[in-house]
Amino acid sequence: MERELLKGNTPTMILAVLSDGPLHGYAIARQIEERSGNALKFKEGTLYPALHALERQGFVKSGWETGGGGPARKVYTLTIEGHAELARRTETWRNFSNAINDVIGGKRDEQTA
Amino acid sequence: MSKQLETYLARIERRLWPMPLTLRREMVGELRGHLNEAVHDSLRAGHAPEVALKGTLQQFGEPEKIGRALRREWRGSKRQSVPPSRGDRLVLAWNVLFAGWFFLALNIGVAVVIRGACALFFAVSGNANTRFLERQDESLGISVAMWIALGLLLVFFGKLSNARRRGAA
Repeated sequence: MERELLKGNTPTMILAVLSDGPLHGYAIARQIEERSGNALKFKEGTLYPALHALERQGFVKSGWETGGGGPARKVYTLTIEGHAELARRTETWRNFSNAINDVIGGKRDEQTA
Repeated sequence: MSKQLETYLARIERRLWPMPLTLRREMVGELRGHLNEAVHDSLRAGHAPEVALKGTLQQFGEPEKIGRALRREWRGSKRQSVPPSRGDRLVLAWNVLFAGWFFLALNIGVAVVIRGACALFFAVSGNANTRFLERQDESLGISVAMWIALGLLLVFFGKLSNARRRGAA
């Protein structure tokens, strides 16, 4: 997978993964990997600047979780603004992907209105 | 193994300067948690400790790049959350003036010492070069005048920035 394409869409993937519930950084990385069937392998350290940017923009919020007897972990939760941003980004991505598919002769995404 | 991990984290932390120490520690703590968990999972998958650690660090990325990206993001958030006010700019101008005043004062101090040493040398050698000493006096006079002018500007800017800060509060 092209690195730049992956990098540009990391925030969208983070938002998508967090839409199912709060997760910490490591779990977010594992979820992205699992959901993509191990096709999306990226440098996991790049997750954190993206997470912090999303937090600054108000799309996610974080808090330290100390339960379970293990070390404290920083858990990220999607905010209401984050859900709206995810919907907006998903729509943008579908439109873009359909446009590219139209050009290269691929299959259109049926979920687009 | 943990030493290798800590060295890796230290390389990231070095790039986080000038973030506040508490924030740096918090960020590194978060990354440490991620890496420990990844190593643990790799060990559970049956990898040897060295292989698990090496693979985890490789998968995490180049520490300097990560540190730089985190610092860039922090700088961006700082710029966005606290736009520089007029008061901030005045404080900066005051600092610049203070630095100028300090170096000018230092310059005058050095000039006075040189002037004194030359006068002493001429007195001892009995070969007074009055033209040289006059030129020294002229440049010293100019320096003192600039020092006073800068000092006055410094007081003015200090009062102005204090007034702005009081007004903002």
